[in-house]
Amino acid sequence: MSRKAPSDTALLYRSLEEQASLHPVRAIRLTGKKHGPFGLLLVDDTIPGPEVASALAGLRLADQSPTPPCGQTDEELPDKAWLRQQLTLELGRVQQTRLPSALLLITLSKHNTESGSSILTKQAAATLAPCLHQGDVFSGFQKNGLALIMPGTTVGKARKRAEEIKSIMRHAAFSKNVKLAMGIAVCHAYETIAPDQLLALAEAELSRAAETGSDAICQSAAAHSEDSCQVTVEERAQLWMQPRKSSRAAGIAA
Amino acid sequence: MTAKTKRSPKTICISSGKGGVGKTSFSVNVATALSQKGKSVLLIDGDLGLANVDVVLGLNVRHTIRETIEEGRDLASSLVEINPKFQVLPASSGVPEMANLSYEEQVFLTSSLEEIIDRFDYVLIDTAAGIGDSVLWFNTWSQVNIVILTPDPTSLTDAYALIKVLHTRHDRKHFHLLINSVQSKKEGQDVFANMSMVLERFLKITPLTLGTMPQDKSVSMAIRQQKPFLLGAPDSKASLEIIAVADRIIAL
Repeated sequence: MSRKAPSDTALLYRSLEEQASLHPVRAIRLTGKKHGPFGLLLVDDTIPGPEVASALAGLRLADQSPTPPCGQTDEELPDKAWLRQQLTLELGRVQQTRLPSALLLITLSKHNTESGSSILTKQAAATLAPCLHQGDVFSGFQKNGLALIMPGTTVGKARKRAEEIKSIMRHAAFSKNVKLAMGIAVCHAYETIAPDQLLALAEAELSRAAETGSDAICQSAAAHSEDSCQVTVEERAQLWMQPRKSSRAAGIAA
Repeated sequence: MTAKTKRSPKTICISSGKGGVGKTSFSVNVATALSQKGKSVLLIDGDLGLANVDVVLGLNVRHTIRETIEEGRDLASSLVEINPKFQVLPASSGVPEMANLSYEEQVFLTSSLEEIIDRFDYVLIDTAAGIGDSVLWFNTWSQVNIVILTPDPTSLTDAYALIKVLHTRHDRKHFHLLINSVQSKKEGQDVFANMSMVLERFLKITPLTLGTMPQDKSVSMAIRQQKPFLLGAPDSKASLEIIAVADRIIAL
């Protein structure tokens, strides 16, 4: 499928969007499992944003995809623009459900060349397709990368899945002489974060992983806070000692 | 197409960390008190695998949240009317799968809840004990977090642990503490002061007090009779305190 010239469908959508812009409506492209749009949603401008996000989230849930098994056909992986669009929907859903969402970026490059190839990426995508979970959104990312949105996933769980993916990749025949790097960023409901910010966070982690080498997996700083919830000895001491002292004091006073 | 004007209820999550500190009894009675003050209340049994609200209220439940999640049944059909201003959404008991909902089930439950809560002034969620996924999720989904604790060291530690997790991982900053089963007002104030000091020192958060509930025989008697102590013993200390707590909730 050639992506060089816009298809007739894309032109039709663009024309519809132009017409919609003349009216008090918002035009939102609905993306399908494959590359192109499968619908255009026109929403009354007076409907509040969260309500629209909620409706869109519902639509997405109804059409849940572990994304298409790619790499075994001639079809290209969805690109970064598509990924950004999916992230927009996902972040809306994070706000609606109050559940976190993780973005995992993976790059593959051949040793000594520092560059990947689309064939390599497709092979990796085909390898990963069977182990995607319900609700995952899988796409291409740059020339030699893959992106996976994992809804409802905390940093800890995202890291586990990245480890699993690494292991699967390492057992695949194509992965000889291939360098792997993975970067994770997580969005929580309490953060107001734009899709581009989340993408930038994940990209920064990906760069760090690439610099580290050895199939490194890096995650955004927020991830480390997950280990720090244990009640410490000092906290316990304060919690336990004071009430007894004060009760005793109250008793003596009485 | 016109925009719908929706009511936005106040969503309040009631948790404790430790079990057996009186969450359900508090939830049922405060819901009753709010309804007596003319507020429409929905009480959700958030202990999805070991429900108790129906037991405390002596309800014969036909459908629960489980049927909504497993069979797609309309959540509204599971509502049980206690009085015209007070409805309960019961959960199932003895269903381990319900204790840990999958992501898809949580998403589905969210959208189902959002369809029914608009008709209420207050939505109270009586969660399970512990710091499981559903407890944390109900707490982050709600606007107000109430943590119930007793003067026991185990309760203090578990309540603190719950607050720490909610604060550290979910950025919750505002907690309302209710000290239950106190022998005197002074004991309750001491417990609150101590917990506040520890929270301020280690987590840099300042909790608010919702009050103290005295140990009261009428509470355990009402539980055995399966009715709110506010109705069974309206003049008891516990009842007077629960009415004051309801006023503080309205003022939030």
